[in-house]
Amino acid sequence: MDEPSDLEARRVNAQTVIVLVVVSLAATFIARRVWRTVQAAKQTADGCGADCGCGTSSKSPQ
Amino acid sequence: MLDLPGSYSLSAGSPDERIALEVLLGRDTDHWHPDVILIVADAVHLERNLFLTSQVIELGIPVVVALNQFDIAEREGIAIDIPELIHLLGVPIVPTVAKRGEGLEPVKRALSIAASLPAPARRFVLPSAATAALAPLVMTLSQHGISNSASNMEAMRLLSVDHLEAHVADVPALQDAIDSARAALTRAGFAPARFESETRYTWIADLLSRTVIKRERGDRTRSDRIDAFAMHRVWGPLIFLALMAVVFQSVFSWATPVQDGIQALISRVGDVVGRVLPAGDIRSLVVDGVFAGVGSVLAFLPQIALLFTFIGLLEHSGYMARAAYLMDRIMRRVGLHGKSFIPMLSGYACAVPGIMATRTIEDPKDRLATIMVVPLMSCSARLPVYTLLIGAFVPATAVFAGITLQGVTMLVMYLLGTVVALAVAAVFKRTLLKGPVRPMILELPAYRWPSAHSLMVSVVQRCQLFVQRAGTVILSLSILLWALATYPKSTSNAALSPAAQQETQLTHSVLGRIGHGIEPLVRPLGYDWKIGVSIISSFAAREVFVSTMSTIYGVGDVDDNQHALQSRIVDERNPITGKPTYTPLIAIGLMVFYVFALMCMSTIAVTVREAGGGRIGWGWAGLQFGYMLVLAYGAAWITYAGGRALGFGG
Repeated sequence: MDEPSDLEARRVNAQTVIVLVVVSLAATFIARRVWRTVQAAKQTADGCGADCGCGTSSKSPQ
Repeated sequence: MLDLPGSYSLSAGSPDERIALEVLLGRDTDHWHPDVILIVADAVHLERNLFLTSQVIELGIPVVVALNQFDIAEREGIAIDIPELIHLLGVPIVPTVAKRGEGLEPVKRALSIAASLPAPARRFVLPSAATAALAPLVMTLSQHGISNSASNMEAMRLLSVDHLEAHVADVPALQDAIDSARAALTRAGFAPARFESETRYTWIADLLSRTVIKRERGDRTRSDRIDAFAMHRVWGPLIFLALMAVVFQSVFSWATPVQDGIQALISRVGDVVGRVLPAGDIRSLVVDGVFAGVGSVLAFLPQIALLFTFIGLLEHSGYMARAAYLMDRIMRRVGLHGKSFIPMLSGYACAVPGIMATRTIEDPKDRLATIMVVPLMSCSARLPVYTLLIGAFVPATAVFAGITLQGVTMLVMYLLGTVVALAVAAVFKRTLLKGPVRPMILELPAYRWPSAHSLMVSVVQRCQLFVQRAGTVILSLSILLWALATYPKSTSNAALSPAAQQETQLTHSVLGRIGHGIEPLVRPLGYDWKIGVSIISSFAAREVFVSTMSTIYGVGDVDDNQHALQSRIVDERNPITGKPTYTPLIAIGLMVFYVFALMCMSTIAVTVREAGGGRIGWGWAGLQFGYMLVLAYGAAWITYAGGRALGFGG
């Protein structure tokens, strides 16, 4: 059987791993968002590419 | 379905008309090619709407005309002979009342059969001399990818165009063909620049004389009677200001109980989740990062809903157009076109659609000047910052007629942004963007009761966007900021109080180190490192200021998260001096900073694109960001230093 201190250490490690994954996901999301915003600035098409409700996500050109 | 910008013609004088023309001619970059075109024409002002209709009919694409506001036309004594109009225009026409959904099914049926009807074509015949003069130009266009039918319309339109637009720029020898057509028309006794408008309006006048009977109006209409006050030189601006004061007062008076409820709910859920989770980093992440960060922003949903309800009410009732008219006098004085006020009004909701709305402005310099100042209008993302600080530091003292000092302070913040936007526009129009002032022509709609359904749709859409933003951008930033405020961890010292331990941990963290690094920059404004860090983090989006503050004050204090952020910042003390960290003067200075600072990545991106893209676009966006930052810092410093010099403390 594991000692209580081992269990505690494992729990802390598991928590650290989960936190690391969540923070990495958040960082990836923000980086992707920044990238998309910069790309939107380069586009010349209609729509703003921002998240203000005037984007062109529903557009399906022929 | 593609909704093109509303337009009175395809003259392509402004970017929005240019987009409509390119799409209708099948020459836009996204390769849209319409199967059927639905023209929504105003039955009350048919003459002005038939100009566009006559141009679109000539494109040879199936057309359906919805004669909207038919009920108002009937009420105003305008009788329209629909069968005769169908006969003369040669396209299906359906009377509609969009507000009540009347005529929707017939419109759908007309759209489904329109493609099987004969292709519409020009309904008038040009004098033979004019036809001969235009023939080579028509041939030049039709030989280079524009349909025969559309070439006839384009040939007439191009007679009054000074600079060739992008969609015809690749047609060889087009300018020579236009010059030849102009010369031939002049020789035949026509005025080329006025040829299209004179020809079309002559035909429209004849058509209307055969299809529309207008009863002479004896009395003034209800709109006329309201406008006698609402558009009065003196009363008009006062009524506008009073309406705005009521709007901002309601943000405090009506939204606060709901806000308290949402805050309590979020705290309760956070508390329950906190108890379920084992002690450690995950619990801290969920409670201090997610619930504190996202929850503090979500709590402002009632304010957002109320603001957009009022904006919707003013817009749908027909008052917003009056506000634009009232402002035209001031706009002209600063050198801007009256049309600039509509994008500036849109900026109260969000600067991004506001900047997009400048596409209706024909003059490139007027348009650029408007783009440069739209972000100074207080957008809805600033609302959580204003509400947090006003709620915490401005007393709800009654001023007059139910308006409190809180409502007045909010109004002053919005007015400050507007007044400075006009002043900055005046500077641009007298220096970098010098140019003549053009008169504004504005169609004032009749006053009407707003449709509850339309209002609800726009408010719900705005609220959804706010929640979506809180659940994505704010959530991700809150998690990142929590990590920065939590790691690396300091060694715990049991001798210290929980508050002192929290302070030690924050100071030791990456966020604390960054904050202390930038503290000298914000110290002259009276801010500590926590405010400095919150300002820096809100460069991504302004609401992040609130979530960062919430995360900072939540870290290490899991059991005490039910306290609202407002009371936490009121109680915050400087650990060295023991004096309050936040004072009313600092709060006002902070709000002034947020009035002027451009802290929105999306706005910068849109400015780059709408100002021309590439180096030029980035140059204008850089100038916009720079001048707004200087303005924000300078105004916040003047507020703080000036307030202290006048003995207001701080």
